[in-house]
Amino acid sequence: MTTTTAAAGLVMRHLDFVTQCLHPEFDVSFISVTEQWAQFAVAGPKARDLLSNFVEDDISNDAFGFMQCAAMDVMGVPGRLFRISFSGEMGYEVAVPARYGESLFRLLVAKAKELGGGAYGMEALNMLRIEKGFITHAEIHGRTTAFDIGMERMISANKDCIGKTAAARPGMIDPDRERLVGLKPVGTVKQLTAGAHLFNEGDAATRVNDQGYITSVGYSPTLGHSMGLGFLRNGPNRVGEHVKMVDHLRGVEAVCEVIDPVAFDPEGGRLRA
Amino acid sequence: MLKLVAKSPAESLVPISVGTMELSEVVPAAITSIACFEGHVDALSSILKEHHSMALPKTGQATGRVGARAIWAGPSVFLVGPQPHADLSNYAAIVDQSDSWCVLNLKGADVEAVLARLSSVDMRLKSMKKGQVVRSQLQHMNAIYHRVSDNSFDIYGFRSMAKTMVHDIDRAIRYIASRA
Repeated sequence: MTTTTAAAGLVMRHLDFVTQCLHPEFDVSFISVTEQWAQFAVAGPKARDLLSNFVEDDISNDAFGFMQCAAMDVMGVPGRLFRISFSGEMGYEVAVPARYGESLFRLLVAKAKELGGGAYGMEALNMLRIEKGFITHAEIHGRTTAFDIGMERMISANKDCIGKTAAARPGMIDPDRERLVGLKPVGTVKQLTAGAHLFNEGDAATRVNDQGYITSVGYSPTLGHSMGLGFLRNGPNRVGEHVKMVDHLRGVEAVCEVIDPVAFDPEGGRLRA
Repeated sequence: MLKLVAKSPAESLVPISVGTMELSEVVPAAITSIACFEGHVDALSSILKEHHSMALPKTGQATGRVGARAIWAGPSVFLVGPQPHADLSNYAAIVDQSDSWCVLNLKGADVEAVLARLSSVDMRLKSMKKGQVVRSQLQHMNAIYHRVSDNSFDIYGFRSMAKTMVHDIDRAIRYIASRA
């Protein structure tokens, strides 16, 4: 099982809970292999060209499509390849036993530079995922549901799961809940701040008028403007409306247009290229 | 074709020798988690004896010898050193952990005092016998301690935290040395 990096511990804890409390009769054991693997994201239009220097297997789009994964030799070492993307670009993650991690990273960066690329940092990754509408724990912070982030279809209709009953309660599927939206500044102030609250344009910026809040922001060179992700009452049905962002702490106020959270490549063509 | 170069977890961080104490890296050829299926402890122990010449260790214990050990590790047992025999998987879930752990050996006359600075578990030599194993903490991170001989302990910590692990042990050694 592989899981999102930041929640690997939480997933492990959940497995412990299930096997110790819900099903102690299961003859099952598990152990973390987080330390066992060194894994790197390779993303961008030339990701496949780059990786073809490292694996001999056929990783063409037909042979190794989006969301596929496989055990694969990486330069003679037994590794794993995943066709996944958190950047919205053609993306892979390549894993090798940790002892080879430093060596693989150096070689990946060197080869990437030959192709005009290089290592990219967390801030760049953050902006890439914001413009693509990919959530992180800034969004799934413990008070949001699958419904709130527009992923209620991920809860299978055909079988039960932990939390399914709670997720179906009327208050949890009320359209008026604060739900995921994208935000774009359209007034004179072009700055968005994470943690700011949202209000209807004519309302005073006070608690009783609160319409939601911003969770992630960044300036997108691709879109040519700042963009934020946030949660807004009845948000998905308010695309095109203007709302007022107010950050009492930093003293910033900006008029925003509500946009689709997926502002870049909504068809996902780049991921599947 | 390009070639990947392996690096050990504590490469270039140890050995350290200060006062009476020495800290060095142990690099087992393999570390394998062996989680016994329910009701098969005896069968698994027999396989371990047959192919690796050691019994399955009981809670808080280790079996085997230098270079080929089995240590209790909580939910499972770790086979440390040899490549696991295929028959072990008849009675247990086998998971490779070879790249998961940084194993350091701490030894010297002041080992009790140094360990007391790293963990709140009583690892005084009169309390923890040779061959005993505890899961505890090394400052703020989880670790496994195994007393391998008179004043020598193997300590298992997260590979990704090897530098912190060495730093914390190094500081404890130096504090003790400075009081001599």
